[in-house]
Amino acid sequence: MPIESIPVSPGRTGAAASGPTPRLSEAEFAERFREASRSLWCIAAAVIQDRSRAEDVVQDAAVVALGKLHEFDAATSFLAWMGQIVRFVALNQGRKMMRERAAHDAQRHDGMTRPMTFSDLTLDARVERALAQLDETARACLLLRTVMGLSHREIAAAVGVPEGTAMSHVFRARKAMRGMLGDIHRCASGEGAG
Amino acid sequence: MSSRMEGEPRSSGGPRAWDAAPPELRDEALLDAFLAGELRGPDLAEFEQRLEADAELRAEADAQRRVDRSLRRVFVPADVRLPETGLVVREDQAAVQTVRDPIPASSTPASIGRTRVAVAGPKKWWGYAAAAVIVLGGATVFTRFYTHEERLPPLEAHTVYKSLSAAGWKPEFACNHGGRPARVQRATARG
Repeated sequence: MPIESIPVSPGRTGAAASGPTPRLSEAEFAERFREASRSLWCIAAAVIQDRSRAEDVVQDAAVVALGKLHEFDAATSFLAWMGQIVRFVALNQGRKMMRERAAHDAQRHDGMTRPMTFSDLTLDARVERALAQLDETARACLLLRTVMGLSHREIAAAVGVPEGTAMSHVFRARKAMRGMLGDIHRCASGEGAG
Repeated sequence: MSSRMEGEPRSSGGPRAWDAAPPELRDEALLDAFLAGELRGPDLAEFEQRLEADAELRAEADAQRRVDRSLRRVFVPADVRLPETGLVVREDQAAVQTVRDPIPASSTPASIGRTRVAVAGPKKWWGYAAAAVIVLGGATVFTRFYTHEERLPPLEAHTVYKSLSAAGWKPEFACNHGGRPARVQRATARG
């Protein structure tokens, strides 16, 4: 998707400002980006489901954001604005990766004697696989909650959903994960090995 | 904004999530708040009592804690640095702006590559003049050396006249000149 076509709304909250809209300088952008980069990485990783590419996604999103910096209202949430851009960039790249992965898997499975079952996997691998079964918004909410320790309000802003929806995503994602993982007490030996 | 260590207390920053949660998710909300270190005072004491009394809830809390640890092991957020390309693009944009001012507000990094910078050619007409000289010169050389017509010495008019008269030609015009270029008059008018 061309950069111009990524719909990004500044998302001003609260009462309409009476004066000129405050803008970020590039130095201020860099500072806010540095503060938010780890949360943005979580969003990218949740959407694209490939940790190795999450950093590239966030960097690509930063390029887009710099081009649209004049559209951002500095009085609004930087994380919400950047999170929206990261999601769009990640979705675009994710679709491309899905096509590549499908072609790669079709080739790889030809040579495998036995596909690995869920019970063969270590806990971390099982958790990652179970996480992949959730929808992208639920994944992002759960990661921002467990990895970044954000509040539901912060998660809601970052993911662009109402606070109640963010909470619901977290609770349901936790429950669904435990349901998919089953009895994880029997796979203690695999922790950390992936 | 950094990832939280397990067990580190933090403020909830809003209304209690477990009160707002639908009944079927209330235990999930309490468990989530407990694991996030957001349960305090009587709420925390009450939940801990429930954990002691309810083995199933205790097992769920333990399982969830392990899942959370696993997620933190698997997903280690990177401190992403601003891309060099982004800054370069901005520098390019500034450079273009010095040539074409003002740059459209809608310009983005993607459109920068398509921006055509007008060449305000100083002394551009010299180029056209040089091209014209080269073309004319080439044409002259071509006609001078590559035309196959044999170039004969010029004949004077009276010579031609005499020759044609000797061959029986009766001209309507007569030449009254001896050797210099002809001055032709109507033969009938002269007579």
